[in-house]
Amino acid sequence: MNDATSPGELGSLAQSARTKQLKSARGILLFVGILTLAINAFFGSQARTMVNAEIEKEIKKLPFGTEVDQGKVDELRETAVRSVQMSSFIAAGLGVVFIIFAMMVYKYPVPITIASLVLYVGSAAVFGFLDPATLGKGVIIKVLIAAGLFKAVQAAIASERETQPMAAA
Amino acid sequence: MADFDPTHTDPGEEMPLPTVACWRCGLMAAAADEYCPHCGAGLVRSSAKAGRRAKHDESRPLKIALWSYAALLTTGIIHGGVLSARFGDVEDVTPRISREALYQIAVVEAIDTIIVVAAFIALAAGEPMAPLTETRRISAWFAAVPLLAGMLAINFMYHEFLRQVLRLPLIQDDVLQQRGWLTFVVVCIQPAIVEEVYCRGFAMGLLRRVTGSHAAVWIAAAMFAMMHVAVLLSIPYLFLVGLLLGYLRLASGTIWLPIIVHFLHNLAVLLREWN
Repeated sequence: MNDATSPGELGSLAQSARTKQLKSARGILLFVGILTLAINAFFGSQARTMVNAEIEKEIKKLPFGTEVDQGKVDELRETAVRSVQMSSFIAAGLGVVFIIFAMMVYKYPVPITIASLVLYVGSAAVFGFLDPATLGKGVIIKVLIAAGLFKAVQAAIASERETQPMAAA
Repeated sequence: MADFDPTHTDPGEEMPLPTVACWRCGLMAAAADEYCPHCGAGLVRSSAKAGRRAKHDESRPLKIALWSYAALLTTGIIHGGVLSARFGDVEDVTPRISREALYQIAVVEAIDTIIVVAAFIALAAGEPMAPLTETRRISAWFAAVPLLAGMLAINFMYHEFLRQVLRLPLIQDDVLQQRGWLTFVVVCIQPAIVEEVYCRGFAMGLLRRVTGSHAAVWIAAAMFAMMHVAVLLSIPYLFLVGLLLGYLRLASGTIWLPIIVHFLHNLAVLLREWN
């Protein structure tokens, strides 16, 4: 299947609907990919600022007069910064994968749509594990995106079967 | 074209079975087959009833695979929440805390096992692989040994890089220090059997019905890696492990090779922690 194939050429309303679903899947993947890449690139660049803010918050919670081991705090700070940067790097890489998938979805619709759905649901779970508060944020959008990707999977499978009919011996 | 003359009426001769070409791999399969014996693709039938059944067959297995995958991810998230609530403020990991964490992992793995069994029952499926040559099957077993050694080397180097160069803490180290039969079961036995049966047996088999073999291996590897939500930083390495195990499954035609390789891999990691 290639980008030059238009609904008109395929000459089938059902096929036209499936192509539209693949187009919307491409849009979803581009949206999710760019958003994931941008957000995690930002978090990675702001890692030190965010970690410092969190450490200051924790220190302020300590009872007045508590002695803070500055050496340990600095070590913890560096470890936390590295953890955030590494996690952001991996997550940003996932965003790049979604963008690449968006560009390849017409060429390999079935594996790309299934892989996208698997990675999207998996990444939602991973981010939910890291910060359970994110699970509730934008849950409706997440469900809509997952549903859109699943519809794209079904459309891709049906589309592939129609464009490659069996030859009886 | 089938190799027979319909006008020939020798009563002693069996009529050859009609065949059809698979829509995905193009190889010939018996018309009565539901799945292609070469690539595992679902074969579309010409009748409307069979078409509806084929459509039903396509989406239901995929839905079961995706829902069971989501369920496995959910247990990981819940486990993370419980770990955080229970041990979030812990500064020193004592043996008692490690033991408790190990019990939690054992419970989570028991739940995961139930989910995998339920998925199998829902689909009543064990997905057969395409027939392979004897040479290829045997070669896969021999190739597994150096490949496993290479993968373990990558494992140790990668995690050592995380520990020493990036100085990142890896909580599972403390849990793995607990010597005993429970650690052995939780680390070596359950993951090798349940994860392989699910990812390389169930999921990969279902995916091969609708994608190519290579795509099925890569997607199953992504599922395998993502299921390990509790070890985010190890996910890139686990994806590579998933690819190795998937291709071993494909090359050998049996689930036993990836089960054994997975078991040996985890055993090597455990013995290294204990020593």
